[in-house]
Amino acid sequence: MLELEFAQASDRGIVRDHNEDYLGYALPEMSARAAAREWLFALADGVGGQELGEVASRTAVEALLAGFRRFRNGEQHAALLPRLVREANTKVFETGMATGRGGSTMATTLVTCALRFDRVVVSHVGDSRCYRIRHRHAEALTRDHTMSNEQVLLGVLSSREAAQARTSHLLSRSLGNEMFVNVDTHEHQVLPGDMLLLCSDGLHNLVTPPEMADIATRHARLEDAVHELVDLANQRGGNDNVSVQLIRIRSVERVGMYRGRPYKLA
Amino acid sequence: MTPVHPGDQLDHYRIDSLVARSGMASIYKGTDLRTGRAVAIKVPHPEMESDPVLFDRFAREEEIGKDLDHPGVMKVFTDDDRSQVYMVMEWAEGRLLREILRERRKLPPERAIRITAGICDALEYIHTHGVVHRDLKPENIMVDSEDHIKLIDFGIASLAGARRLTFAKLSQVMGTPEYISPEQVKGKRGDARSDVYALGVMLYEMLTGETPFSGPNAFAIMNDRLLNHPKPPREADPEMAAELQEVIYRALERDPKSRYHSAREFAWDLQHLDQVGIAERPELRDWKRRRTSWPRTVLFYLMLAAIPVVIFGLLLYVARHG
Repeated sequence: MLELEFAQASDRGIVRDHNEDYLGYALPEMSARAAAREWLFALADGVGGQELGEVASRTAVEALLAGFRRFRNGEQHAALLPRLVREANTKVFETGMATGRGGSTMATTLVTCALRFDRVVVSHVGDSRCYRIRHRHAEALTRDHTMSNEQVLLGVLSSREAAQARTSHLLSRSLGNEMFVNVDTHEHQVLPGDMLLLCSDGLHNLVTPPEMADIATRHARLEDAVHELVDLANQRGGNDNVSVQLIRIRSVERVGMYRGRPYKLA
Repeated sequence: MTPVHPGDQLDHYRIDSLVARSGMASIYKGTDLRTGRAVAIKVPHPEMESDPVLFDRFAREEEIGKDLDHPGVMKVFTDDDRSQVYMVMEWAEGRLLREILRERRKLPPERAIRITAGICDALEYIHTHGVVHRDLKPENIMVDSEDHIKLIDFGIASLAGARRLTFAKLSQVMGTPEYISPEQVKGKRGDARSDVYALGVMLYEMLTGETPFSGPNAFAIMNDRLLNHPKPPREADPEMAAELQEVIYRALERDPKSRYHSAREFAWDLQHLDQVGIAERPELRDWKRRRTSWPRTVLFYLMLAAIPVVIFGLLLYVARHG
């Protein structure tokens, strides 16, 4: 049985006067059909003037959760999640067009992870990240979609130049800017004791991965860890909204796959 | 903010006619009722107020314009308080360099050099006053009937203030893809030498009728200048002097350290072409070798697809000769 505990926090930081981040999750429902125990976590960071960033991130997460709850027919997460993210993109895009200020006016990043059996599927667009913390070591499961990062892939920038570039906060992909979006999706195995950490750039700009791993594993209560992470980001300037979701895997269900269907391993 | 129409009066300016409309503002021809002088009045679109990036750009443009006083730079008038946000500039007769290029595509070398040298002069002035244009392009240069030029539009927003932006605003914050300098593409702020580069691109365009770098989208065009060498100008126009081509190459050096350090050096070489030494340039030979901006993965999958083909070929060989 996949068992986990989680905690989340979102803070507007010190400098900004409103919070454009939005968090959401879907729990496995206690019904016969939910025997597979599926969980979904999502974190979005809105971009846009005035209140529009907030609308964008909320719309994306709500659309994603609604899609996830609607679906219950054993579709593979690795196929389902990118489809839901694309649907969320359409939703944000349409909402942006409906504001009637000419063109799409709002956008958001989105990182989401779905868990079932002993697998986690991570999909993301933009620069919100997902880390896996295993043996006190945090490893990023996502690669930011920023202009300087794309240039590193092209061989135009070295990673050192990219870190100093003023374009490191220019998003190369985001939800809501265009009708279609390319979603990065990866599947990973999880082990009992692993932790997953979803965060917006307000956290990973100011707190290093080793610090995240240290704080996340030091506390017995996840709420304490989450609040310490947010407080640390705020101490270091808090110039952006800070949001964290922290998930600890208690136990997993080992399964094998046969013709696309899972079966239990003893 | 109230919309403005020809015939209206804005403080002590009378609006005469609409001249141009850009993404962020409308430009009207107007008359200063106190002096009778013709002026250009730039009024931002009402929806612009909600966009901090564009608004910042507009504010910066006015701030810079009022400190500069040079015949090659559009003069900005700042006076008393205004009832709403707008900018008043001197009225300049002439046409945009973009319009001229659209009409004739190519300019004769003497005229291209004359215009470029004029821009160099204005650039040298603003650079010595600590101002860098950062978004120089034919749309921002006014040319009159005697080929005197005026720089207009000093409004590129600085990236520093913006928290985070999406690709939709790429050109607004970075600069125009065709004319941006390599160091700006790499995420640096850019300095006087970045303007020299943009002017080099314009000189290339005036002489050959096309811009040196291209691509399917803004991002690809920007990166092209870091990956490839342009087609040599003399390939497009064999009659061009080799010295002139050398000057273009010196202005288009990828590394700002090897580029002209100032607009004055650029102008001097242009006006004394006979004294320019011609360097042996490898890019003249290997400009055709393209480093495409394809991800390496494409190559990987092609190789992967080739494996069964190779195996099949080997089997066939063994079957025939075995």
